[in-house]
Amino acid sequence: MSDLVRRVKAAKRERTAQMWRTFRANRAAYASLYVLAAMALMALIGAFYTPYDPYRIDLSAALGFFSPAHPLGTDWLGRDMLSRIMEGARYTLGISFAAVLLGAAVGSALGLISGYYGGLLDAIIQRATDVLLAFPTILLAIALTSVLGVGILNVVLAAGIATVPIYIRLVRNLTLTLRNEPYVEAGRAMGLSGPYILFRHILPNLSYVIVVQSTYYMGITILIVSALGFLGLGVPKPIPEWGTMIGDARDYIFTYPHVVLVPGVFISAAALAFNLLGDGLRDALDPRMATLLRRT
Amino acid sequence: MVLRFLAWRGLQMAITIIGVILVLFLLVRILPGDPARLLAGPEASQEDVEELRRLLGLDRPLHEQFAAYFLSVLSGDLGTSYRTGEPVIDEIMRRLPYTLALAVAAQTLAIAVAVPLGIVAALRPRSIAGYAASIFGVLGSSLPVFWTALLLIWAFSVELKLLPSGGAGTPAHMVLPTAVLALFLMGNLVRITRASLLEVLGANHVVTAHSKGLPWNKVLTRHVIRNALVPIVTLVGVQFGTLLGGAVITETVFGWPGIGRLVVESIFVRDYAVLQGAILIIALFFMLINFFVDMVQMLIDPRTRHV
Repeated sequence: MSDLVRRVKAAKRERTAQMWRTFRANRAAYASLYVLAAMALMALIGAFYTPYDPYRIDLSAALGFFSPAHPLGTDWLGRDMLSRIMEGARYTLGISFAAVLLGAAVGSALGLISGYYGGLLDAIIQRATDVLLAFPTILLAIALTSVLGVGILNVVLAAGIATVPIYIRLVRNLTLTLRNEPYVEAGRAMGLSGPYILFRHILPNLSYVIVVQSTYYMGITILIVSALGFLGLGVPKPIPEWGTMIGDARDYIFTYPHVVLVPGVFISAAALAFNLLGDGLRDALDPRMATLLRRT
Repeated sequence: MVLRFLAWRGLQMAITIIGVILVLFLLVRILPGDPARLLAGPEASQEDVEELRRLLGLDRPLHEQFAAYFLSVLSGDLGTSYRTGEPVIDEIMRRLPYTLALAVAAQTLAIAVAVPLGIVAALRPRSIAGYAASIFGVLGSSLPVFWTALLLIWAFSVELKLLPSGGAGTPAHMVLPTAVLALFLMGNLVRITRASLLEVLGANHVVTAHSKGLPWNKVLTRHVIRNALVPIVTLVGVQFGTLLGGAVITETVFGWPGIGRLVVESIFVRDYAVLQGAILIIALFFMLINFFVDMVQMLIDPRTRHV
């Protein structure tokens, strides 16, 4: 028996090592890991230290181009762009992360319940999902912020809820295919409770799909969160959330484009890195799931 | 079978439409404040508010209010804009052609570039087209639309002085917004086209057709493209539906007087009657197009016909 346990453990280790090798072979995905680590580090440092006070106005230094004193220049109020990017990283990335976490948790839970129990509950959840899916994602997020109002938590809620229906559909469909697997039936025959089977037997088998979908959704949600900021529906001013920075600076595109250029580079790099990381994870974990995932 | 499918999808859609109307009905009632005041607008007099309250029956029980709202929506009455005093439906009808024109132009451009690129990339992965497809595929869906829009304005309006930076009226006004949206759409379209083609190219029936001696271009047109078309058509449908309502940001940046910009405008001036109406129309379009995509899918791929 202990020999069997050892062999199963060794096989699991070998499979993990194989996945890691596949992932490493995808250079773009591997590099994205470093880009994202650097961004996370930047957000972390930005919470404690920035070269200048990101909110301090110094009109004598306004609209400076890249220089040793201000590596990313200054905006129209003379605020240091690098400091503002570092300060804003926490908001753009943090809000997106919280929103995806919320959407994945709520959507997956509802999808599991809907797919496993079926019946009236399933019918109700599915019709509600239909209603949410009747709105384009970005429009749903905009409509929700118009109801909730401006604020950090409200952006998390709006962007999070906007992704819920997609997780519900994905997880429900997967649960339906797993529900009749022999190991699930065996669990039922042994008298295990529904929640136990759901969380110990079904969820672990689809967790990797949720992880890959969430990686893609980080990219998409960063774009949605910064779009809300751009429209002035996101976090309140003067917080330098990256999309808000572009929205506030948009009129300077005619005269000092670097004020618009810089935050956009960071948003694009973050979204790009999550998209590439998603591809890498998908190919390493299970290439067959490509057709299941939503990327819009 | 086809009829049963149609009936089932039709019923589903009817239920969804009722749900959407319910959500929009509740939208104005969840908002803090008096719904009559919200719908009448901030500048309305107390008499106007009371008048509207009676008209909408806001003093009656909630389910009766919903019934009244539902019936008025079905009869095409989406309320009145407090800003213009005009029926909401008139404002939407004025905006719709602009949104439609932009959506058709952007989608056409995206298909014209992305689908051939994706096909060549699948057939010759190590060609220039192959690399271009990889780059477009990931960049298109990673660059924020509002940023590419501003960059194009900078390049083509400020530096080159070739195209107007915003507004509508001449064909030149349409070029930049179309390009921005098409670039965004191309990302997913290139990827799906290439992936879908690669999958079909490896399928048994294609190998068989090829090895029985069918000329390669016949294999491509008869066996590969047709089968690879299903996911592409689905994506185009979803994209087009999104464009009709989701071009909010592009329309806002370029001051394009479409329905997406109407949504943003009405949020800022708190014209909730217009907001409700515009979102309802967008959702209806979105659902109809998804329904239409299902139909087309059924025509191309008979396997999707079972319920």
